[in-house]
Amino acid sequence: MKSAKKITLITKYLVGIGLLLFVLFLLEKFLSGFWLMLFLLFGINIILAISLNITNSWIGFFSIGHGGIMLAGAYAAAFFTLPPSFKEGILDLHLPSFILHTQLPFLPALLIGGIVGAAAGIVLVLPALRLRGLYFCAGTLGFNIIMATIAENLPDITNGAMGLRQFPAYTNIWWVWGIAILLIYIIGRLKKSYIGRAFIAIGKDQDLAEHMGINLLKYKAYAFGLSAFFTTIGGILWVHLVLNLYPTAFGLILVFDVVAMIVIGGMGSITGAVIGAAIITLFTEILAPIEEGFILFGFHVPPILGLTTVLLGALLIIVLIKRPEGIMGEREISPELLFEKIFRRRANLN
Amino acid sequence: MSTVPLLELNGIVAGYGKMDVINNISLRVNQGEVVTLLGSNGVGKTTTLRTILAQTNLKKGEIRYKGKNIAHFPTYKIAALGISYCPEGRGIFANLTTKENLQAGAYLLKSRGEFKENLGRVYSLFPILKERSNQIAGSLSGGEQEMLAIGRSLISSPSLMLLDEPSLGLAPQLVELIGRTLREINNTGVSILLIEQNAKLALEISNYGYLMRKGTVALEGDAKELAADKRVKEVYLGVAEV
Amino acid sequence: MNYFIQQVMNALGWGSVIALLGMGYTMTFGIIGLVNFAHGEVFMAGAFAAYFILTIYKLPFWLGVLVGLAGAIIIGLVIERMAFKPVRGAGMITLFITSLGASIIVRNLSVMLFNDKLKSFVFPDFLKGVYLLGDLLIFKKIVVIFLITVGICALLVYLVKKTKIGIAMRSISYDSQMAQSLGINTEKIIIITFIIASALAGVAGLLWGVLFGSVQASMGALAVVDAFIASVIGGIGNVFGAMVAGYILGIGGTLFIAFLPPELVGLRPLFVWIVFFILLILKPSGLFRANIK
Repeated sequence: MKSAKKITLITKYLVGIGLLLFVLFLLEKFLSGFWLMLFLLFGINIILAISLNITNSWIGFFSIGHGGIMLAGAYAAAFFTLPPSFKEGILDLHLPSFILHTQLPFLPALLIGGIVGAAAGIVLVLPALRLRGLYFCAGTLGFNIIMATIAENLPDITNGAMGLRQFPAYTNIWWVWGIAILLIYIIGRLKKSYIGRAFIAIGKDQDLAEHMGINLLKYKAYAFGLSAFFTTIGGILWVHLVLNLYPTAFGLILVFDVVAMIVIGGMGSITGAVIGAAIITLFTEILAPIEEGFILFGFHVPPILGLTTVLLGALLIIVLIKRPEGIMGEREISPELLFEKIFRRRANLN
Repeated sequence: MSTVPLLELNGIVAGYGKMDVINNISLRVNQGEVVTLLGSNGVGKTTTLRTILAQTNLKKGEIRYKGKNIAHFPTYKIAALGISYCPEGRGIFANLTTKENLQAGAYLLKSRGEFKENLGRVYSLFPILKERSNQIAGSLSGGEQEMLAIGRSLISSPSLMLLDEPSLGLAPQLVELIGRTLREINNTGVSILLIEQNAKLALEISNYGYLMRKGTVALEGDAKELAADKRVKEVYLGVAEV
Repeated sequence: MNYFIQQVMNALGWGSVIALLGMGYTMTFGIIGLVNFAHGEVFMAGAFAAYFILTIYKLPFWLGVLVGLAGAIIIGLVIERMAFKPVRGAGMITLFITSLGASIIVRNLSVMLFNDKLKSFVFPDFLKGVYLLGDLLIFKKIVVIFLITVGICALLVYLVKKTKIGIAMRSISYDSQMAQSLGINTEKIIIITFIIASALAGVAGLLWGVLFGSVQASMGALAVVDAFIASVIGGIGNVFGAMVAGYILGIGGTLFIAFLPPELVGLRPLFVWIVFFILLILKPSGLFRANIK
C-alpha cells in the first residue's frame, strides 16, 4: 500500500510541475510589454521577499542591508556578463584580464554573483554575533551606504556613478519563474526540516536554542549565506531585465519595498511573501505611470515624483497599526490544500 | 472612622489579554486596616493588586475607592487619588540614586516644604537610606532596596499602600524590621493591602485576611481566626504552631 | 599645523549641528526606545519653515527662528501622532519601521512639493563676518552656533538631572509602568520629550541654513544617520554624551576628508560608519553612561 501512495504522490508532483511548465510556456508566448514586465517583476519580488524572511523573520535578525549585498553580487555578475568590447573599449575598466575578455552565459554568472553576495551576507553575520535587535538593524543600514559609497568611488572598477550599461537581456520568464518556483519549493521544505526549525528556534529565543544544542554561529552563517545568495540572484535577474546598474540601484527605497512585502504578507510565511510581493508589485507598477504625469479629461496632470513611496509608506504604517502580523501571520497554505481546492477533491489528507 | 470602606472590589474578573487570571474577586479594606491576601503561587494575588492599579485587562466588576468607582481610571490618576504601590521585586529605578527614587515617589507632592518634611520622615524610618542617598539604587542590597521601595510609596502621603511580597528574599531580622515598620506606618493612619508568602508575619500585623485559591476568594476572616485555621496552615506547609 | 587647527575650527559648526540633532535623538531613544528615522525630516521642516520666512518673505530674523521652531515642533508632533502613538509599546523594530515609513513619506512629499534643488538661505548680517586670530579665520557664525549648542546642552542636562520633569523622564525610561504607579502621566511626558527633541532639530535645521547658506528637501537623509550614530556613541539617553559625540563626528569627519587623497573624498559618509563599528566592538554601551536598563 505504501508504494502505491508513493506513486500517487510522485504523480501528483509531476502533474503539478507539468502544469506549471505549461502555464509558463503559454505566458511566455502571450505576454508582452507592460504585462510581461509586471509578471517578471512579480517573480523577482517573490525571490527577494522569500529570501528576506530567512534572516528577518526566521532567525529574527532584522536586516535592512540587502541592498548592499545585492549591489556586491550584481557588480560581480556584471563583470562577467558584460561584453568585452564594452568593458575594455568603451569603459576601460581596470579589471583582471581574464574578466575583461570573458563573457559568460547566465547560469555561471548567476552562480558567481550569488556566491559573492553570499560572502557579503556572511560578513554581516559578524556584527550579528554581538549586536541584537535594533543595533544590528542600524548596522545593516550602514552596510547599504558603505557598499553604495564604495561602488561610486572606485570608477576604475565600477565606472562610478555613471554605472554600467549594455547588459545582455538574459532575464526571461523561465529564469525568473523557474528560480522562483524552485525557491518556494526549497524554502518550503527547509521550513519543515531540522535546519529550518533551528532557524526559527533561534528567532524565538536565541539563548534557549543555544541551550538545546544549536550552534548559533553555524546556523546564523547558514541563514545569512542562504538568504544573501538568493537575494543576490534576484538582484542579478533585475539588472539583466532593466539592463543597467548604478551604485544607487539597490537603495533604501528598494530595501523598504521588500520589507513592506514581508511585513504586509506576514513575516515568516512563504505564502505571505508571495502575497506581499504580489501586492507591492501591483501597487508600484500601477502607480508608476501616474507618477510620471498623465492626461485626464484633457487636463495635463503633472508628474508627482515619489507618490508610490509615499503611499507605500502610509500603507505599511496602516498595516502595522491595524494588523501587525500581516495577512498570513506565520501561517502557510499547504500545497496539498491548494491542489485539492483547484481540483475540487475532498480533503483526503493521509 | 468612616463607614464606607476605603477600598472595595466587587465581582472582579480580570487577567492579561484574553486570559483571565482572577474570576469573581470581592474584598474590602476598611479605613485604618491592614488586610492580607494569602494563597499559594499563581492564584492571582498580584493580578488583584495590579487590577486595582489598572494594569490588567479588567473584564467585569467594580473597584470603589472612597465610594467612587475607579475601575476605568488610568494608573497615574489612581496614584493621584492616594493609592501607592510597592511591587513584587521592589520596582525601584536602578538607574537613579536613592534620593532620586524618593524624588520620583514624591512627584505628586505640590510643595517643596511637603517634600522635605516627608523625606525627613522616610529617613527617620529608614536611616540607612539617608546614608546611601547619593548612591545608585541598583547597587543597594536587597533589604535596602525594599526599604527604598516602601519609603518611595510612603513619601507621597498615601491613604492606601499596596505591597506585594515585601519580605521576599530578606533575612529574618530584616523581615521583622519590615513587619514592625509596616505596623508603625499603619499606626499613622495609612491603610495597607498586603500580599505575603510569610503568612505568619502577615497575619500577625493584619486585621483581616483573604485566602485565595484558583483566582477567587476561598476563605476570609479576622486575622487571628485565620491564623488558627487548619485550612490556612494547609496551604503553607511548615508554618509553625503559633 | 595651522591648516589642521583651521579645519577643526570650521568643523565646530558642522559638529554643533550634529550635536543638536544627536541630543534630541538620544532623548526620544532613551525615554521611549524609539529610533526615530523621521527625525531628519523634522530637522528639514525647521530649516524650510525658516527658509520661507527669511528668504521668500524676507521677514526679520527673530520671526524666522520662531517659525522654524514652530514648524519643526508641528511636524514632529504630527509624525508622532500618526506613526508612533498608534503603535506605542509594540517593540523597537516595529517602531523603527514606522519611523522609516514616516520619514519616507515626509521626505518624498517635500521633494514633490519643493523639488530637491538647493535653495539659498538668507541670514542676517550680524552673523556674517570673520575675526582674525593670527593666521586663523574664525567665522562669526560658527562661534555663535557653537555657543548656542553648548548653552542648550547645559540647559538640557540641568533639565534632565535636576528638575521634576527630568526625574520623570528618567523613571519612564527605566520602567514606564512603575513611573505611572507613582502618579506620572507618561503620555504627557512623552509628548513633552517629543516637543523638546523636535525643537532641537528645528534649531539644528536653522543653524545648518546659516552655516551652509542653503537648504535642500532631502537634507534629513544623511543627517539622521549622523544623529543616530552620535546618540549611540554618546550613550543612549545621555545628552552630554550626544553633544560630545556630535563634535567627535563633525571634527573627525572633517579631518578624515582633509587627510584623504582627493579622489577618495566621496568616501566621507563612510567615516561615521567606521566610528560606529569600532565603537560597537570596543564599547557597545557608548562612551558615557547610558540611561536605560
